[in-house]
Amino acid sequence: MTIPNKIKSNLIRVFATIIVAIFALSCLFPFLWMLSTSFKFEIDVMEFPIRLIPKNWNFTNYSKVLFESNFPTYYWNSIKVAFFSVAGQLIITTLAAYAFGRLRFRGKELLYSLYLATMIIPAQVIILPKYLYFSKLGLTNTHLALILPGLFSVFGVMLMRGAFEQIPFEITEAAYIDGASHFRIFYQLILPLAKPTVMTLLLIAFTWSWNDYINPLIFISKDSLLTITVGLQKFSDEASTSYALIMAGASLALIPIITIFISAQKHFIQSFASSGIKG
Amino acid sequence: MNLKSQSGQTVKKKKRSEILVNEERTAYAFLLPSLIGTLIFVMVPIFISLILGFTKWNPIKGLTDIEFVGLANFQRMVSDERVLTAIVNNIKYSIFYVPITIGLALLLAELLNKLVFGKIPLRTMIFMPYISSLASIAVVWMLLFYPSASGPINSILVNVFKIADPPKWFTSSKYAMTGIIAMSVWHDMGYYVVIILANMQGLSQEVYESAAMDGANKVQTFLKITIPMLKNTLFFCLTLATINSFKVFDQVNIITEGGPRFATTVLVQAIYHYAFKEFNFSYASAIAVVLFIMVFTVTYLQRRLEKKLSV
Amino acid sequence: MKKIVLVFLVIVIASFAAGTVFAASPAAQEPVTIRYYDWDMVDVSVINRFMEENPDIKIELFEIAANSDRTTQLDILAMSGDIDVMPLADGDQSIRSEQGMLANLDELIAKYNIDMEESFGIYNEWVKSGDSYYSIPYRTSKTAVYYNKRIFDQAGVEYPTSDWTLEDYKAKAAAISEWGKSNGGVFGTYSHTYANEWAILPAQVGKWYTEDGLSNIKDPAWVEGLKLRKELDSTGLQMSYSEIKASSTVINSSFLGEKEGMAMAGSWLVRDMKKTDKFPFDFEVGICSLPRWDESVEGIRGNYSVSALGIPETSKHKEEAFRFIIWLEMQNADAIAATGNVPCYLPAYNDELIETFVKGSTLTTEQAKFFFDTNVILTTNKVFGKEGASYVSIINEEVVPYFYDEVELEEVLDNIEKRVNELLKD
Repeated sequence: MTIPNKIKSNLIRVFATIIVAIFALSCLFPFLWMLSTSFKFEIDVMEFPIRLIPKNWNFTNYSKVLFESNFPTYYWNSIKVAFFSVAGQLIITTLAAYAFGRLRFRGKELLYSLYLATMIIPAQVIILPKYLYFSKLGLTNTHLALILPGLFSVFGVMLMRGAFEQIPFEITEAAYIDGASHFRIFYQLILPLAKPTVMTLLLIAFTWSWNDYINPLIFISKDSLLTITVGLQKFSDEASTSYALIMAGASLALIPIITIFISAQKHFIQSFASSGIKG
Repeated sequence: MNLKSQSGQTVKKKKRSEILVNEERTAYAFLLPSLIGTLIFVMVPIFISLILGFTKWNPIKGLTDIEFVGLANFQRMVSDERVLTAIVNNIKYSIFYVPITIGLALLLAELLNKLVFGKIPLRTMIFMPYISSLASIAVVWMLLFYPSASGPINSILVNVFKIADPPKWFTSSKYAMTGIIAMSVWHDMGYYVVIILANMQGLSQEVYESAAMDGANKVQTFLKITIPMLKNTLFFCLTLATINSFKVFDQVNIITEGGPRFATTVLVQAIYHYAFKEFNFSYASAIAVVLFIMVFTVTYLQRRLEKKLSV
Repeated sequence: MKKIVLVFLVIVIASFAAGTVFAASPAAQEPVTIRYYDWDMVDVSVINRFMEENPDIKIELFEIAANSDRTTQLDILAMSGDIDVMPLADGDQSIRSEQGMLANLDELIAKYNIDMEESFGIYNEWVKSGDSYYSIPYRTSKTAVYYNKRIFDQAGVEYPTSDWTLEDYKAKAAAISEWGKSNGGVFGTYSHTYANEWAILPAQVGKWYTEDGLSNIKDPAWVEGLKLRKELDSTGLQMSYSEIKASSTVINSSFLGEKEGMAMAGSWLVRDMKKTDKFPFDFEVGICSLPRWDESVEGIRGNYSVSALGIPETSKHKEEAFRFIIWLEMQNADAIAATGNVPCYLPAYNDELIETFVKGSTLTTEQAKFFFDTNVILTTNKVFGKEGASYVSIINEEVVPYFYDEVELEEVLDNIEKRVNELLKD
């Protein structure tokens, strides 16, 4: 008996949904576990069977983190650094990507290959020369030391160039003939058309800056300037086996970025829907 | 570029060269901030670091003591167990990490795009690991994979799957690398899903419609239409994943510090060790040169493959 | 439009440059500024007092976390001239002075007429390279066996006495573990995973170098020492090496949390005993000297290491930093003791100092005398000698798989010998 196509395709849809849901849940599990552990008492942390809903709720972990540690300072520092990093990076990389992706000039291929080549190098290798610069300039223990490197993302240029290249030249041709300058084309045509990618870049840049660990570790030694990644590390070192407390700290460290992501998600969808170009 | 010329040949040429010059100037202007910054903060330090690989330098003494020693550092590497193991570990890591991550990402993106309701929340959930910092995730994973039988994952293995002697995960030479790879795949997958998905949604619908009319089923459509159309994106992702896989460091340093012994030592870990634990910046830079060569070679081969497959 | 962009860009770059210049121009101050980083600070009032007495010096304090990254952070600071007074723990000073990171202090010592022998006695060994001084001994950590009297009472085990041996130690640990099995899983004793921690007891008899100056890791003392750790782990007498590593357990919260009856720890544990908000405990703590390795070992035994304060070669205010260091050490040993650390300045040792040391920790002055007693025969588990720091680091790497039950001891010893000898032969 042949199953009618409609039922078949619905079944496949359900099956596929289940598979994806399993993946998604396994992605989510560590977070759920982290969250639930943060509300437990220390003795309940390693209990089996694993209980996601704590038997006894313990809210003191959060109050300890919020009121008895430097977390609020670390937050504010992370926000500040991320904001400037992202804003700067968006401007600088989209401009450069426009040049690479839509303009012709001498030395383009060579320069681009050079850019690509730099991506291979891990940050740890260049961190000492960077430190030597910054300390000669007196920039260590300032937030500039964290913001400046973040502004010049080669990856961002790559990503945006890809998106810009995909926009057909006919569209910009027309505008150019009509007398629009490159900057206007860039600002009023290309950027809006590439919005989904710009949003992607924004999120990635923000994430990178927020989660940056090694730069604040090396460049910042004043506690009042630390960002949340190193701050959490310091915190959990001191808390050692107070796992529930550490999980509370980790949860708090993640909440802002998850919130931002979820709200930016909606924007993502809108950009897709309003994007005019297909194929 | 087709220019609609209004008048004759000479005018066309003049306009064209003017346009080109204008374009070039604009290009340089647009590039300027990025170029200056990249030069100062990326290229010059890289250059310095690479040169250091051929010297002998003790950074403690400042810049006065740099001695050029040619290939001595590289000779030392040939009998250095830490570096040799690191090279092997990096290769092992990449061989598993790249295909698994991209494969899973592709699969999930496809499923998300076509066949699924609840798309948005599911996609958010899959992307979540990526936005969390490796530092905090490392702590959570270390706890989850607690080596004794009472650890969360192990207790499931013991009680549900009846495995009597569960692995000691990060405290065992055998399973530590597996744990690190698993963590990296889990963490990075969502990132590639988002990239692939963003590109999938820009694909032309006509091709799909005609394929459907021709009676192609889902699997065929996926293999013969979607994947080829996504070629550029896939190569981009593969290249990115490969490069990133050679750079793995954060999770290794936080969870195992390259141990037990050298079981999870990767090249960047070795570089960190020699640079910051032994103050041997020149040797560390030499290892960086090796790393660079490895990644460059693999990337180059990938590009050749891409060109070949694009014809 | 393009022009506007260019102008905009110029403004952005200019403002960054301006910001840089602002940040970089040192506020031309009259007093010289000394930067002091540490993870265990004396009370701020002490620092303020110094600044009052010495108006030409201003001290900027930075507290850093006491984790494993701290040495890297400090090194980076030293290499770029951002630190003037640098704390060096337990032998970190030797490799750094050898590499030229620390300034030679002989001249300043002579200028200020410091009698190093009288001030610091045996501690001086830890700060010399050749015949020169490269740092000043600051705090010393003396290892002792701390025991939980309540657990001992409940388990019916007699308190240790200062002439006890390794056999006694093992027996007591076994008895407590046995009792502990039905009393909340309490361990007999605790020994951490610090580098060469396993070598504390065998150091009473072991030698690290052979006559020819090569590695003597196969000395029976070291072999037995490694086996001892393994034995205590596998018989459940103490928390196993792998479990400590995996769970980030630390001595203070573990012992003060009553997870074991005994703990082998440095005198710094007293510092943590004073922090009653962080480590509250309500049992009586006993202190005993280390068990003797075997009958051939005589006297009251202890193990020690010395932390120092050094001045990086890159510092531009070496003399001011030096003045601060000696003022702190020689005139404020009590402030150091108040933090629960044993100061290195010998002339300050008296009952009052010891009292300050134990105040708030529940220990008695009588008990704490052990940490200040110059009659205690001290050995150290750190390696003094050629490439000592690397020696320790190599051992620390190689023993891990052994403690994780993955390789045989012979292989570990062979590896250590091979690697260390390669270094020593150069």
